Amino acid sequence: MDVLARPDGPEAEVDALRETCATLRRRVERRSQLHLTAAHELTTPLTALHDLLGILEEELTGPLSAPQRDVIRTARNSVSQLRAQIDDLFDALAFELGDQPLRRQELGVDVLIQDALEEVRKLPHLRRIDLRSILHPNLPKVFVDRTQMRLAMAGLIRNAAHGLGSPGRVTILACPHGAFEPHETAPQVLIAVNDSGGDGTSPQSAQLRPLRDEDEELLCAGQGLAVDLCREVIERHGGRILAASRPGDGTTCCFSVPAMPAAVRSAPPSA
Amino acid sequence: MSKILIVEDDKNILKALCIRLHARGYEVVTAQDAVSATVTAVREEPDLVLLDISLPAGNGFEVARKLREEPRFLELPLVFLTASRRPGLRDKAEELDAAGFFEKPYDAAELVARIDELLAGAASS
Repeated sequence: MDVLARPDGPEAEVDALRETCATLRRRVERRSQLHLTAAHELTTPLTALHDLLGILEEELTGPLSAPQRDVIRTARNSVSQLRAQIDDLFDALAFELGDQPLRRQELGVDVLIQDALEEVRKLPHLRRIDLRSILHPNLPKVFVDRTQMRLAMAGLIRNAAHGLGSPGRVTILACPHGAFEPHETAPQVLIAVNDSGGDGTSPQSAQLRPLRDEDEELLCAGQGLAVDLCREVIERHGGRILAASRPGDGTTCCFSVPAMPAAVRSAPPSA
Repeated sequence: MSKILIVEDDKNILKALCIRLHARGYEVVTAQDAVSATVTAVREEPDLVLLDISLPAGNGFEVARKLREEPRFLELPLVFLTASRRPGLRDKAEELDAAGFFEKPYDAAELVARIDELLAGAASS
């Protein structure tokens, strides 16, 4: 008989579970540390590159010819794109790390949009983008995980702003919507993020329309990490994500979130 | 002419900041680690310190704490820069009476505007 072997029984199982939990926690902490370090190491050379190109563009080191100015502006745009990709990548990693059950709460769509806009406005290179929201007056509340939705929506807005010139415009529209599929009985809230493409589309003309069958073909696969992350979050909430791109109408990425279920609305508050 | 101490370990960012602030008419002195940052501040008595948080031989917060221990640096404007996404850094900077906090890649126009504002305030007081 092996006297060093663990005894069987409930206590041993609890010990084993505790050990597993501790190991997993250490692993998550190590990965989190790795992501923070990687973010720092990528951001540092990007900062130098961005500022040094800015110095050239502003002609602080001497006058430039028109073609030189054009080359530098193009290079700065590429640096901004790289920055956006890095942001998306780390948001996706943060989401993966925090892969926990949804902590749903009743929330107004206005709060949801405000959260996402605040997140996006933290980014200096997007501060010159005109961000607007148009909300239907009778929007039902939604039942979502606020943190995950903020991350997902901010990514989608950044994605829409990505590549827009300055001044560019991103409009977020929200309206109530019926269920997309026969098996979906809950009413939905439809949220659309539209980039104006810099063509001056007025918010008044950026009307939401019912999604058509052909929109299905324009599912936004391959539009970047931000969309993938958003799809993951939205689908976990029981919603769907679609995108449509129309000449002269910019690109619209739409997603649905189930509205607050009546059963939850009418339930007494838990103690 | 106001004097700015830039504490930044990445030599390329340091170069960019030096060019910008020189072009703006400021005198610039530099340090690339936490130890020389404190030594340089004591020797040069800058009017403002632009302070990276992640530094060799310490960090920007330690430098700030050491400077704040000296009565002559109690009112010295400290502007923090960081490439880190670690949560809570802004709060820590505020505890040290930071005059500014910028995440990298910073908006150069905003950074310079804040420095101008702080130094104009110091000059007029």
